[in-house]
Amino acid sequence: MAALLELRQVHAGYGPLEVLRGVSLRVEEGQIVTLIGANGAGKSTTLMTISGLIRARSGEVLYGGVSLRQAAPHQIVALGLCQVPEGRRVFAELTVLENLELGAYTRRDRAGVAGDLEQVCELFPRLRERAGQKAGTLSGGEQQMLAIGRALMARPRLLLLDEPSLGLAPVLVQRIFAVIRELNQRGTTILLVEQNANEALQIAHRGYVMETGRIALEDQAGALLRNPQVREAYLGYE
Amino acid sequence: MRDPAHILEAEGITVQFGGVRAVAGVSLAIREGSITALIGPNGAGKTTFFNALTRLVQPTSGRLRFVAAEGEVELTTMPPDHIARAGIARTFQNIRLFTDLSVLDNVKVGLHGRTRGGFWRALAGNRAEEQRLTGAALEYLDFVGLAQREAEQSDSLSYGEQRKLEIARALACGPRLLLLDEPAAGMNPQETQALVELIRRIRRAGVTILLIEHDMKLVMRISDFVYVLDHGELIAQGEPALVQKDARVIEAYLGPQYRPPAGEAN
Amino acid sequence: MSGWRSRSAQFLLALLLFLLALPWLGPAGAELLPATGHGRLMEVCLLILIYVILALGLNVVVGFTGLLDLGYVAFMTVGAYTSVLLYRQPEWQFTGSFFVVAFIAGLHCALWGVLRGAPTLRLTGDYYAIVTLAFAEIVFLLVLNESWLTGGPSGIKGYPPIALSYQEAPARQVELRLRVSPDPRGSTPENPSGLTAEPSFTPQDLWLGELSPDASPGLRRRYERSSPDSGAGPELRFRNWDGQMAFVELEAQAPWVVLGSGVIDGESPGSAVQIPLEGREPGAFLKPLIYWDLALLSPGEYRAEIRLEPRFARQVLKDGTPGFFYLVLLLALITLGAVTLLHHSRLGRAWAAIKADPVSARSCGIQVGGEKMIAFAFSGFVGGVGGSLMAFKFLIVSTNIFDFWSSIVVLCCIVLGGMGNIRGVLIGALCFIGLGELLREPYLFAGVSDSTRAWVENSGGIVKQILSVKEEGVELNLARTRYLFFGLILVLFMIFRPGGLLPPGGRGKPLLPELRQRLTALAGDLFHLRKDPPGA
Repeated sequence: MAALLELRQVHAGYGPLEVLRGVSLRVEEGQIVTLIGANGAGKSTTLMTISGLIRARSGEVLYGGVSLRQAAPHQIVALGLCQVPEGRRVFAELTVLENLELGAYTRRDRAGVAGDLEQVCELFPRLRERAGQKAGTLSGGEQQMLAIGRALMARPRLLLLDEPSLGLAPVLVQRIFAVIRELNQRGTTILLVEQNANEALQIAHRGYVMETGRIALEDQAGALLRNPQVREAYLGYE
Repeated sequence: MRDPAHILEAEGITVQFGGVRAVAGVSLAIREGSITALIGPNGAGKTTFFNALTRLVQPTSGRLRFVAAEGEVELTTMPPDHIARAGIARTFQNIRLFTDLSVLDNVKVGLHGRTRGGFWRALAGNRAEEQRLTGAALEYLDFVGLAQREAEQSDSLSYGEQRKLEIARALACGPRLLLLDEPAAGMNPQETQALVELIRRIRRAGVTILLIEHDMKLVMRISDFVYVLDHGELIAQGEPALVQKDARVIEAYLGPQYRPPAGEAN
Repeated sequence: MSGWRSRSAQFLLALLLFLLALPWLGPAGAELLPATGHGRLMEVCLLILIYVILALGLNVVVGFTGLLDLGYVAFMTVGAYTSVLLYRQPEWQFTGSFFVVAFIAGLHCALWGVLRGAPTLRLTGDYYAIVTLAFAEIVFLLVLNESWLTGGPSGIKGYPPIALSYQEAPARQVELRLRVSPDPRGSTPENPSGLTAEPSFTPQDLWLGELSPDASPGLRRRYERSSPDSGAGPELRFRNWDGQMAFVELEAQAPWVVLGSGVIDGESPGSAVQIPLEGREPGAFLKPLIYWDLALLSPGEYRAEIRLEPRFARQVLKDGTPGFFYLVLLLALITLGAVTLLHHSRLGRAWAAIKADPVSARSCGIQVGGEKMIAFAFSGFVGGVGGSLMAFKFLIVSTNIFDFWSSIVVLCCIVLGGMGNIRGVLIGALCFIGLGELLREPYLFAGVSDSTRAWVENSGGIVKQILSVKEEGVELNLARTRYLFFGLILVLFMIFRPGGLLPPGGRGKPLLPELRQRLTALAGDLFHLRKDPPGA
């Protein structure tokens, strides 16, 4: 069975700088796949190449068998591939509700949108409480929830999450990962980039370890958790 | 000062923005030479407290006594650009380096408050002073582990290196108190360990440290004392081992699944 | 600045050597270039150098400190008018020197720079831009309307050019007796007063142009061109103007300068003025020293004393002379040196920090407001000096020369060259001003076919504006549509090379690959607007 998302030998970068040097990975439908690695390894760049914000220089990016390389970002979103970028980029001047509604920008089915709004508020009750507040006044954790909720409003088949736990209090980190697991159980495929390798590998099915623009390791998540090199370098166990 | 061992005493600091009380009546004290951590959920007011300390925002009420080199000063009435000269320097949550400047120049800016020379000296070339500045800046870069990188553009450094540069710049201000705002954010365990060592080196050099951090392993490993903020108020304070068992802290911040790191020595 | 061996540095060095040699390549020196071509080339280079000074000054605020100044012309205007109004005012000795006057003009503008910027210190950069725009408009309107000071829309002209020193000629005392007698024809419409007036001067020789015995041979050569026979030296003359007024006039052509004063004896109803009389160009300058209203006189004899101090201006520096060219070149080099020193100093770092992140700059102990004010003052000063140079190049100041577009031109030199980057500013000024002057020149396409001629003659609109049929062929003259091409060039730059020719940080990507990259990106964006998503 073809994977939902597949990258084959992708090269990409910014200007003269090449960040991805032949990245290949697969995400099967219904899975949580995590991409871990050091800062600057190219994890965020990988996500941005998939969602079209950076153009791949060579290689293939296949989504449901279709190449994404020539597509514009807004077209990619319309196909059901949604990214939650790093740093919880919410629209600070708009209200929580307006942010969520903007998530459904490419959709035409009013009834479906309303239904999804309900579901998101169910998933994140805090957002319902703060529906009328300007997004910029929310705390970091709430903004992260809003960013994920906004991405969910596009009813994605595949959700790309870039460091969702960055800068969050430990209690919120647990909550976010619980939400990610729940989303996956409801049918969303997830590609998760994380610094917090511990938590990420605990909820993922499979994992990739990225180093200086290449995939260094690929395995089932559980196996990576037990892998001694991974433990030393990324999980902080000596 | 109530206690001569304290380098900073905050009394009833309140910061109000319109109807929102970001910081509500926080009183805390920092011992000279210690490493103190300020933890708490997002939106608890930690960064706002830092901003009040450095006068980026004006506290609505309260007092801040600080032991500067020349004696005790009241921070709430001090103009913001005197804070650095009084001996408080900080880093920022989102790294705020001077992007157009080289690595070396970034650190040299930190030396600004400790040097002299305005328009006329500039026109005269001021070579001796500039060489002295370069030497001092290189020492700071060496101290944080960025030696040999001085000529590069600051935004070509990796994330972890940029954080180090920001710390070097703050150290160049010659502070007695260093405020670090989430220094370990986005770092993997290896980088975090290097940061721990750097912070210890800074303390050995005689600088008192107050840091905001979410990485509990780091906090446990390095802090002498911890203050916990929630919704602008202090809800707990004490040594790290005690604070992490505090029920209020667990509920508001650490979460029920939090497991204290095993066998961590301070 | 990255390295002195880089290509752009070598280019600029070669350019400097060329500029140093330029005045001597023409007829006055080695005669390597024909007169008109050389003269025009020198004029263009001079204009470029003046804009280099202005652009370097503006760059301190825009490039170094990161604040957008949209009204730089205000300083150029204030500096120009200040120096013109001050230059060689007789009451103040010190205004005799151009350098003193230009310095004062610069200080004046520095003061305004500070006053203009002070209210904006705590506000964001947008407010500063608006304030600069408003200030420029205020200056413009003031200059336009306060004609008593500024000459209004027609401006001030005929002021003397820069002269470095003067050769004294002997002072003269002249006695004038005016004999007023009744006109035999009596009062007529042509002569309402019915009087005639006859002067007699003592001494009778009124030619004032003599040099002291120890004048240099070069000076004597020039003096010989202004002899009693050539009529170019200063002279006193008497004129009876239609029986209504009797004048004693003083005429002098540049480079003669005469300080004259007259005193009338007794209580005759006339007026005497004390004037400095500057010989001006082009043509002669006439000024009445003493005059009587004949209607108020009765027959008799009137006496007046006239004292004259003629001087001969040496080393006149004006547009076209090597002296002026070197003066401007020297000032450009001084400005370049000053700006470079500032860039690499503690102050320059503070400015760069303020530009990059004012909040963390303040946390490092930088007094953001104070450093900004220094930038405002310096940039104002340089603008004032640049304006003074323009005033003494054109020898006319008016609102036509100093208009809104001038601010934009200086800004473009900075932006197109590479914002903040000193070398970029130099090359930007060179290219932009050079291009502007190039667009003024008509180009002749010789030997065109008759059908082309006919087509040109019969077209209207823009073709008619830029093309005209001449005997030898078809002439292309873009002078009137220059601004159209400026605009086009700006747009092209913004699309393809927003960083300017030499982007800051020394990371200018090679021109052609970047152009190709941007073209493909542009095409990609346009193309996508029409394409359906894949697999949809």
